Amino acid sequence: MRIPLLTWLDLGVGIGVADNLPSDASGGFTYAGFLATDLRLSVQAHGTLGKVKSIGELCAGGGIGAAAALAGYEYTTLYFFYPAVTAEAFLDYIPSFLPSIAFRLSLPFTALFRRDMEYSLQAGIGLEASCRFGSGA
Amino acid sequence: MKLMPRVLPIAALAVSVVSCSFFDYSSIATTRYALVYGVTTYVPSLASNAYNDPNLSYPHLDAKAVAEMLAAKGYKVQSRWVDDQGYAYTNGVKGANVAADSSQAPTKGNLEADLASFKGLMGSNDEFVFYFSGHGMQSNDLTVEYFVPYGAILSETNGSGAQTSTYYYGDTALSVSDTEMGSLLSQNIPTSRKVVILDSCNSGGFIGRSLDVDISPQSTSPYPAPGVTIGTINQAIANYVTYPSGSGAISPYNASVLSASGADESCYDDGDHLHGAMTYYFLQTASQADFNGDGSVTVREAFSFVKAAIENNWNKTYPDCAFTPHISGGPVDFVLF
Repeated sequence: MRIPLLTWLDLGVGIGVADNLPSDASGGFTYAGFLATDLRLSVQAHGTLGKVKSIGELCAGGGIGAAAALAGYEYTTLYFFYPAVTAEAFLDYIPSFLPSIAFRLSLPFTALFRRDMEYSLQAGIGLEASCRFGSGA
Repeated sequence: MKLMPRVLPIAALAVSVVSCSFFDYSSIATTRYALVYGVTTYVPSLASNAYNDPNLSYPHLDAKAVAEMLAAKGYKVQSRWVDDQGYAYTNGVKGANVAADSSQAPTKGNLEADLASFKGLMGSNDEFVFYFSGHGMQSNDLTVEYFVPYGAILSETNGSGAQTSTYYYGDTALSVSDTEMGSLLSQNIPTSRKVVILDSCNSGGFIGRSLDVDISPQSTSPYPAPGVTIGTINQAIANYVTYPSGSGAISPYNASVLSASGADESCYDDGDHLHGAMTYYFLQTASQADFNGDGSVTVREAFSFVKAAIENNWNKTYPDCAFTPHISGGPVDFVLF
């Protein structure tokens, strides 16, 4: 969900799911895979790349935010919590027939504050659908 | 509309976030060691007025099969077990009957000595597996769990005259508690790659919790498990805030524990397969539990296979004797096979 703050700036509130695959096992161990569901809050700046009335609008932007996640380790019934900070660059496609909906392809980068790991960073490719409420000032 | 076919196929292929190792560990030599214990006969000759029989049926077969499987997979295995006739086996070689000589039996003292013997053998990149099949028990206040090696079953006589009976019970001082095992491992095994596999009652109590919350109950119920609830989230956040405090059992950062049962329940010998019910399925993990097809079976893959097999087979066949395996948490999973 995106709440416009300015014409070029949104407040984003969302639920995310990230599937973290395990690391390779060549050393006799792996960093275990986990599936995390998070609640995230972000600010997102964006600008229009192009707009065709019959097709829709293509926007690009970036955002930073914070998240609180509950994750479940792969193959287990074990769950753990961690907060995280996120940064992402994105491309939004806003179809002309659904102007309040944006389909987003993003490159998220996340720092996970897991207390039993010194560093835990996550990068990948994200797919989102978001709904925009109201218009920016 | 021309954008749609281009954007969506790319996104559909990439919904997973990939984490990867930035380091190449393939050149690091890892030697795998294992210590395997099993006790079938706890009391070689029961009293004629025995109130209960503490002897089991298949732990010696469990220990023998697990030792052979681990050896076949490249582990350097040490083992001790007592068979159903009371004979002690050391590294697979038959020795004296424990009724006459228990010096080679899988006792607590021998466990301490055997673990100490690994101290000079192992390096920090080596892996260690401890396996036990036999009795387990729990303290009356439900806070401490034990596995019961040979020599830890004592007896007491009650009553008088014809009403006299001999009752056998597990002695806590001669058994190995969860915290004692944690200390023995941290003091003697000089690697972080430690795995403990327990086919014994109440063995879930050996699993120390730190950050993670196990939604699988410690006592199996015929009713469906509640799954993830608000309580799970609250507990996970509380664990995060209070880290590194945790339970006094074996910390997940000391060793990964795969237990046959929860802390508050029993597990059983399986007369259909002549093994402990958990061990019967554990023996299949080397060939059947590589779920992600990467050519290796991790502790958690083995756990997942064993848990599903127990739930889908044993628990459905014997619902009154249902139990559920449990596993340690922590960010690292070790390769077993």
